[in-house]
Amino acid sequence: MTGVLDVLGGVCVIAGALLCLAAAIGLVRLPDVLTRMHAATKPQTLGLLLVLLGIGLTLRDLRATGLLVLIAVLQLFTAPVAAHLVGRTAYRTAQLRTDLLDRDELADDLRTAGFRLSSDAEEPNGEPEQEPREDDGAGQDRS
Amino acid sequence: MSAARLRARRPQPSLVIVCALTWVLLWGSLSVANLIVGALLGVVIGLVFPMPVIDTPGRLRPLGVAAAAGRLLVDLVRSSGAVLVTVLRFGRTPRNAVVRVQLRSRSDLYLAQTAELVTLVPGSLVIEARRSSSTLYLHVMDVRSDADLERTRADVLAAEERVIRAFGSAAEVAALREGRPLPLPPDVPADVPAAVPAAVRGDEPAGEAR
Repeated sequence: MTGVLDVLGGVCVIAGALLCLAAAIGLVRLPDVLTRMHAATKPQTLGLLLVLLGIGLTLRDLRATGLLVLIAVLQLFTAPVAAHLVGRTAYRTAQLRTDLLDRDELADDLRTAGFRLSSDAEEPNGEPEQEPREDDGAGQDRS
Repeated sequence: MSAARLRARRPQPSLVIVCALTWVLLWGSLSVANLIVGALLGVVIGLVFPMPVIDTPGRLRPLGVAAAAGRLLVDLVRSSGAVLVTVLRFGRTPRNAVVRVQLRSRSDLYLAQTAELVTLVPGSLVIEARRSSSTLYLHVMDVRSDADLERTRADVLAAEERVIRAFGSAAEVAALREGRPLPLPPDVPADVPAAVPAAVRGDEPAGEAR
């Protein structure tokens, strides 16, 4: 019985590590910040959960399991928030490949609301537009 | 609604309990001393970083929470697979899109939880949330057709429904079941209709964005 659990735990740890490796490959290969954040949230989170599960199956210790559950819960809560903040910042500072976007309804709404986006600006002499996207209104709290 | 009213003046009991539990888990032993120190930490954190009180109209529904958690695990596996396929496929750069999804509810709690769930489900990443109208803007990876975008919208609304089934009030769950518009809290501004489908919401009021 313990042998079976050890093998299962080992398989989980290896599978989780492979998922984290794939997430790392995604960080390198994907074209811009927003697509990279996809790789940084989903396979990475699942990979960590699998590693934690594997450790729990191998250790079979109640105290360690409590700590592992805590790590898993914190990861599930914080990974989307971190991804949201990175993605939001990337969008606002125009750090994204707009040529890969088939549709951008946030930009549409911002233009309707009267904002000028840096992606609209002409760049006649190759001088990059320094002005960040002025979309401060979209995330404001109601006050 | 003033900021002073939103902030808790005294430590919130839930925060104290969560901190005590976290402290016990970190130390790995359930003792009176650990519980007391953890609770004290919760009080201090509540005083130093006062947070708005989470106003929830509903209650915790264990069955709904279990269903949402189970579905989250399934979604996590599916979305990891989808991202892996995109990552490991050579020779094609994924096309993306940013879509707007108008939620049916109007609650900070539901908005935050739906955003968390949506980021972990296949293909989507929340890049902007508009609190005043409960609108999420998602970055969708590897879009091939408009049907993909419609599926993403449906996924988000399904995630919202799971959140409400896990934490909502009886009236909200009943409204969901019968397909009626959700009952809204009284302080919702009347100029943003809740039940307007996302497709016709092209006219954001210009005043809102200052």
